[in-house]
Amino acid sequence: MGCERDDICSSAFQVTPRLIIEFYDINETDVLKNVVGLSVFALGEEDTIEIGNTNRIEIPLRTNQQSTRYGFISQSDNEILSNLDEINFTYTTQDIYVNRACGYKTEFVDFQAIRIIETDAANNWLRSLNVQQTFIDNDQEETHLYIFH
Amino acid sequence: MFNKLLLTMIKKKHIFIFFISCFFCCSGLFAQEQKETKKRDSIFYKERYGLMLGTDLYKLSRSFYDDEYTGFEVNGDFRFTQKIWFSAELGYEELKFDEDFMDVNTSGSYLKFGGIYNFYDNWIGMDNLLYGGFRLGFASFSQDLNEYRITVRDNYFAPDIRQVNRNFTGLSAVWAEVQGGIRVEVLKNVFLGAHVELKVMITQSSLPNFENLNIPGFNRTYTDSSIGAGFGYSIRYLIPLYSKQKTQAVDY
Repeated sequence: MGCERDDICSSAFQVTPRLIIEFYDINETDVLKNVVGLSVFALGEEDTIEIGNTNRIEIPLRTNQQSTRYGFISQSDNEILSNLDEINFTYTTQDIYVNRACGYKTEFVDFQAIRIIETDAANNWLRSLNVQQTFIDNDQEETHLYIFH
Repeated sequence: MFNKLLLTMIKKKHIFIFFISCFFCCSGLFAQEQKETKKRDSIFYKERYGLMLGTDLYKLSRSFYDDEYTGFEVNGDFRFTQKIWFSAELGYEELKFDEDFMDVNTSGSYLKFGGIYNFYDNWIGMDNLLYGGFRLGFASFSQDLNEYRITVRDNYFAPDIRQVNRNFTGLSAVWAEVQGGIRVEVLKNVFLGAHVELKVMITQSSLPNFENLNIPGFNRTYTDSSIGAGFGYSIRYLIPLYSKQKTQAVDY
């Protein structure tokens, strides 16, 4: 870091981390499994983030609230097969000073993820969650949440 | 009579030469051209000792044109020997750190003291300076964190701006400083100066979950570094208190 210009918040500095999620196979829980045509959006926001086929995503959490509720749409490019499930993420926030170039970041403490389960079980494409990190302070190392589907 | 006239002429001419010699940083290199020696005599001149009082013109002018700055400095130098002056500066500064992601005000006063050594070999009767100096600096200040915006790498959510109005008071800092500069007597006893400062922080108040972005007298800080820098332009008036008579042989 000694060589970084200190008036630009370069990627060498860790700012507010994003939530890192990996998708695993519900039948073989140690095997990554792609989601087909994934789109996500935070409830209350107008924009949907279209991601596509992937087994790993990084999404932002609200820093001005103690929770963020996300919708996960699989096969979002297919009107018939598309399926929306929701997860509510809860946490407390703490603002941490980084430096004069980056200012403050938010870290997330006591992170929890709760599925919003639909009554018709067949509609739930997200089957299980496993929180790996309850303290989210870094989005460049480990995965915070496993989702099984 | 002739000597006096000669001295005046030399003086005027060499204020100009002093400037030039400073540019080329080779004060020792140019030698007085000597015409054929015919007679030898001695002249007497008085070396002025006293107190030089002044102010920093850069801080003063910046206060007018820079909205993010207010500052004032008075400085004084006392001539101790032919080459050495004791120096001190006393000042007050308000510095603003005003970025989209952070809005911080720093204000407070500082005191620096130390001395300078004049490297310049003046011509008879002149007291210009080309000097190096050392200072110990002390600042007493406060810092107000007015607001900040949480820094994120995407803009999916609207900016999260926190109005915190957090005040850090009773802060202090100590640093060491080396200076290099020139001072030229432009009118009798009136000196114009320019100098640069290189600083190393010795100690400063640490803040919970924050840092000192600016320090009066030290200027801005650098991340993961204790180095600082500065410069100034000054105008000073020499109050002569006494003088030492010097004798020098001259040929004419």
